[in-house]
Amino acid sequence: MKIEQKDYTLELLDDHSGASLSGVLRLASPAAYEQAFEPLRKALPLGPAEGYTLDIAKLTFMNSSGITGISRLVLLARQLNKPFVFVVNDAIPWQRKTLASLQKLYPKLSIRAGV
Amino acid sequence: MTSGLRLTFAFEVGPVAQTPREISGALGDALQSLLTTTHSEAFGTKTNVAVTELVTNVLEHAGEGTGTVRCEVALEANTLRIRVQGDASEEQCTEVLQRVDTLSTATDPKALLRSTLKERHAKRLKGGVGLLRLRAENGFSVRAERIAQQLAITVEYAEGGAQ
Repeated sequence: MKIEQKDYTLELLDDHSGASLSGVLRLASPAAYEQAFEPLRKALPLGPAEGYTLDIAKLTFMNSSGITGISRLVLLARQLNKPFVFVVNDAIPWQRKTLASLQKLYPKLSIRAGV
Repeated sequence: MTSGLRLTFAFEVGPVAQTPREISGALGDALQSLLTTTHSEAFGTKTNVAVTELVTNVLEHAGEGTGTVRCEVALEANTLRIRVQGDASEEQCTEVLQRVDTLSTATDPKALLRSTLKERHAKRLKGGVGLLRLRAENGFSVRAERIAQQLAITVEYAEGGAQ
């Protein structure tokens, strides 16, 4: 499933094993992120036990409401005891900085370079 | 990078209630383009993050929405200072002043960011991590002051300097 918005695209794999987020995520409020990430929250429990992979390597910007939204996904993965993998782009500094904080919230969160 | 070059920029828009929320991102992007032509890439990206977060905060919380949001950016001698000012209620001022005091005095801002994310998730609270992110992930110092019926937030980043 592919959800294309003006500034960003969310593409979910049919087998529920992962998704990719690309573009710029600068939604105005946490409530807007709840809505935007709803497909991810629904997919997370349905996928394989090996884990869920979210590729953000082409996501160039995300505001703090988005970080809150992402952290909620990570905490949901923790609740489900499902490993969570972020694929990042090391040329975009905020990605590793932000995710390193989240990694301490959930030890089964891993980060790998995708570009 | 041309570290000897001074640059100042001021922007004011209002009334807040009629201002499109997208303006914060557009302003952040424009300033990033401007600053990366005169200074380092890091200054550009940090300015984008800070302006986007701070202007969004004012647009979301600026009292009745009849006032303006004012944003000033100054770059001098490798120090970047961004100040954003707008209307705020007494209650908002008190809350933000307390929050800024907590994050300014935190010995481990990254740990504070993590615990805040966890706490706000548990209590289903919205937002509240923008200023923390500026401090913990971008190395800004943060201060807040009440001026009459307004709240001003100033963030400062020194390239190569201690924060």
